Amino acid sequence: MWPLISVTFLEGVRSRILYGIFLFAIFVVFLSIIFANFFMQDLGKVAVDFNLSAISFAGLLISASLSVNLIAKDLDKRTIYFVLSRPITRVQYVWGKYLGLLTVFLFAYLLLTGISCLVLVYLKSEYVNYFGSFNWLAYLQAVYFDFIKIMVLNSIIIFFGVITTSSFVNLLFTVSTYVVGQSISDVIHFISTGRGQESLAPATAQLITVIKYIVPNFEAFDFKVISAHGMLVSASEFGYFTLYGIVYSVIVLCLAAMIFKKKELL
Amino acid sequence: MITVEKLVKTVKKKQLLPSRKTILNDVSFRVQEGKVISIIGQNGAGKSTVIKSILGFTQPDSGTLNLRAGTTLGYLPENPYYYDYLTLRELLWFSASSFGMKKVDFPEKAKAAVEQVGMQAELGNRLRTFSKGMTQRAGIAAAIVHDPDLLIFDEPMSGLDPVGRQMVFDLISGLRDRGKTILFCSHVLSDVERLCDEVIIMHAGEVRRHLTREDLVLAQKETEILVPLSAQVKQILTTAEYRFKTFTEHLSLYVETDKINQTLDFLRRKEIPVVNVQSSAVTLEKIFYDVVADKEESCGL
Repeated sequence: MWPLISVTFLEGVRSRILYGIFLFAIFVVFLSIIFANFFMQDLGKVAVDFNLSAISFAGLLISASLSVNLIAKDLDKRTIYFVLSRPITRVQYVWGKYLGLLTVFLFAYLLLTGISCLVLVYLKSEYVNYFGSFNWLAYLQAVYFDFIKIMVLNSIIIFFGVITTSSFVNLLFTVSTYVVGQSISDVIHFISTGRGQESLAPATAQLITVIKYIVPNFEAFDFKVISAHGMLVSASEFGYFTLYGIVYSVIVLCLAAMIFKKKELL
Repeated sequence: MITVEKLVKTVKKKQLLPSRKTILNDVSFRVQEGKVISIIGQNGAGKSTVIKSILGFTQPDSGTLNLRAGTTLGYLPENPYYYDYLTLRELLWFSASSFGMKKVDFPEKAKAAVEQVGMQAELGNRLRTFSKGMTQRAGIAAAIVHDPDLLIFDEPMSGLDPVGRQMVFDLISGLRDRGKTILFCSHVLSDVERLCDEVIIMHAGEVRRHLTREDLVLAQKETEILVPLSAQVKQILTTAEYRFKTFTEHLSLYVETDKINQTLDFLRRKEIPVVNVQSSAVTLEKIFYDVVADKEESCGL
């Protein structure tokens, strides 16, 4: 599996799209220096939020451009024949591609976090009074959970990648899952209130409850606001959300591997 | 080394009403160790499907496929496309390391592989800069870098210029001399005829002929004697165990060229008139065209 992980890593780091996204994210991170001046009251919080959003957005863009095409390209250009004629099983292929992607994201997140930290160090030294509640650990905590979110999202991309050979359909399904996953807790909150119970048919409410258990709760990994206030989550919460992301990804990848094992590669 | 028995494969037809199309029908053959075997046939005959079945890319509906345990395999796909962001060295390393080759052994093996395909100068270059022929040769290098026991090449000559084709021909020839087992598909019949110990001719998903080298050599050394058609002549030739083929007005008798005088004496003794004597000049190409034209008995083979 290692050869596949390293080849996937090389694919990621040699991709021109990745560099485009990097440049964009770095541009946005540096833009926070200018933008911070517009918000003199909450400058520190805005800067943190701006930097975290840039990293998160870069993660989503890399997923949409690089990850979505990863398996589709192998199937479309028949590179898969070359790979699977080596002693690489289909299960190893799915895991190898996924873990290779994670190494690309790890590289991207480390780089972007490093740059954003430098920007924050500069802003902190320039506007000392506005970073009273700033906490480096809280900042890194938000980046860490964003990485966990990307981990889950990419397992979903791999899952749809083995089902469909079209990267567009994969993107469509992934975006739909992401949107539902981002808003599902709000919807659940709505139907649990009196107004929601009145306006929704019981069948619809039930369907939403089922979806809640299938689609990952992406909002749970959003720690930007907490981080902007310099707050840290408890160790148990930290462990719970980490475990949730890992277990969800493993289940989705096992399903993907099961499907891919049966896939006809004619 | 490979045993294929009664392989059947159907696929769904893309039609309004669901139906299935048979793409492999009762395909059976054996690939013996150290032999070079080629599968030939028209496009859509089922050659690539057989190879993909052997490699496990597709599951047959019925039949069995056995590959000797512990066989290391090198495969060149048809129209290969590799990760073009890799250099040739990285591609070879991917191939070699997935077969468990150690880093310390790699430089020597990589050098040997690229030398065989004439790409020594390209090791550090990215695959995206390669032409179609170079990509094909890079694919062959990736297939042989780990020194496999069995090589499966799907159209290895495709996309190559005459020099490249000769190089692949020499390469397969060299691998054969080193005792490697090679199974390959090709449309270049003259090369197949010169290289192979056995030739499988597929048509419409079926194995129509399985020829050995002896069959081909014999076919080339045969002479065709035409005699008038009659039940009595047919009876005499059958009793004497001659190989013949019945046409509407005559019988064609196939004999080895060095036995021609002996046969003519026999016919004279039996008072069978000879209409014509001609070299049959049966080439693989002729056999192939007969099979494709669905002639049941091609040249007595």
